[in-house]
Amino acid sequence: MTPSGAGAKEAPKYTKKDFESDQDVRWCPGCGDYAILSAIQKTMPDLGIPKEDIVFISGIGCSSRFPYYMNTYGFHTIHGRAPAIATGLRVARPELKIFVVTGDGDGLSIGGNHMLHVLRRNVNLTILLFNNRIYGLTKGQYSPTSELGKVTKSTPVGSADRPVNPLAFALGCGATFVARTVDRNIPHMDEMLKRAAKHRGTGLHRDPPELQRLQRSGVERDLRPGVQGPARAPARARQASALRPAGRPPRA
Amino acid sequence: MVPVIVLSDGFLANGSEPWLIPDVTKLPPIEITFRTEPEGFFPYLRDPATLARPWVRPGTPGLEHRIGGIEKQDVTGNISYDPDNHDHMVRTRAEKVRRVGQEIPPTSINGPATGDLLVVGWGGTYGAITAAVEQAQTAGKSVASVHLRHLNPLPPDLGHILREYRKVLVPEINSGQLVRVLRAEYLVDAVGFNRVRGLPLASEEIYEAINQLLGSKP
Repeated sequence: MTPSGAGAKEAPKYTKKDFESDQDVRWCPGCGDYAILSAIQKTMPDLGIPKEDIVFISGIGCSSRFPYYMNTYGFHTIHGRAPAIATGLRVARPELKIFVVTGDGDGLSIGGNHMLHVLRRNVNLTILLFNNRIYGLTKGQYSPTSELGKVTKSTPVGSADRPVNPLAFALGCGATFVARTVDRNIPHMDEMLKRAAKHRGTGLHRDPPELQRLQRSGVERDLRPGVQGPARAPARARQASALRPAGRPPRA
Repeated sequence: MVPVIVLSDGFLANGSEPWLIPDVTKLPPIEITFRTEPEGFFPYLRDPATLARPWVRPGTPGLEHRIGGIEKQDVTGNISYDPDNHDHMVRTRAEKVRRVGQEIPPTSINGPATGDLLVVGWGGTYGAITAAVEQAQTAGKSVASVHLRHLNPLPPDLGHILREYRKVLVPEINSGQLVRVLRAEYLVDAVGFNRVRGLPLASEEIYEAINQLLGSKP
């Protein structure tokens, strides 16, 4: 087994097309997930891993539809629990290359605890966290990374909670490879994906986990027709947030 | 090829006693046939007898596919939003679970195969029920018991067994979960005996419930 997790088999010469599944891709128009999907499909041939040895495991949410669109093995699993299932597969099948695809809600709220433990356990997985700072699949509730004061369906006067910083979280949990990129910077995203996927350790338990944070933007606009910019809290809520000590909830 | 959920109760979970750990090498092996042949493969093909889908190990060339929670088209496994397909798949999955019942051995009955009262239990109440039923049998009463190991699917012969007794008593350490299932599933007038005290049921109280239901004195 190579440290990256994939077996020693020789991979055929692939192209991006070999990694495209025959399923209709369904995300909101303009969503950055399309760019991420394209970048990952483009990156796969460079990894030199036979595609039957590649597995994408996801939880629930917009980002978690991802495995259906990759012509590899894929498992769309339980909300927040992709790290646990991926860990099981990792232990049983160390020769596979395993990616976990998650989002800010799935990975940092519903599965926040799983994320903590998979990072601290140093399981050899490549975790891709698509951070759009909102629950998109359920039509726009605030997520753990939503900005303070953000107006959403579930925070009509603006979010009272400070957002979690995924990078600081990953580092705090002991992640050994942490990168961040944006969907609009394709060359950078390609490079980060390659480096994340190739990040190597020396054995199963010493192999490092990786957190690749893919931040995308513009989703707020898509989810809120008629709103021309990123969602902003009304002036009253913004002012209230600014005056409040950090972390304190608003008074009823 | 279905998820298996093992139910326990607080007493079993928290109690402790010496228990011989079985020699795992002597346990019967679980044989799985993995599919390796790409020709004619679809991820949602089904075994006609069990309705189980083919199992493919990741790493098998030419059989890459995706599984997961979004509804799939029968056979092909493509994502499907077709209402009729969803209805068909819901029924197919339920039928697959029902067919697991084919593998459940005949239910063992402690007592006469027909009579006045059947006591039905599951889980950690086995000892108390068995003691109470045997006490009633010794006292000359026409009482039997069955202890279920499988709750979904229920044993295929259970409906027939329940109808062989005039009355059915279901002691449970909850507010009456199995008794409702039995009443709904088999249209029998099963009666619950329920205590939720965080303690095991005592054989004396089950014995008393047996007598009460039979209208007899201990």
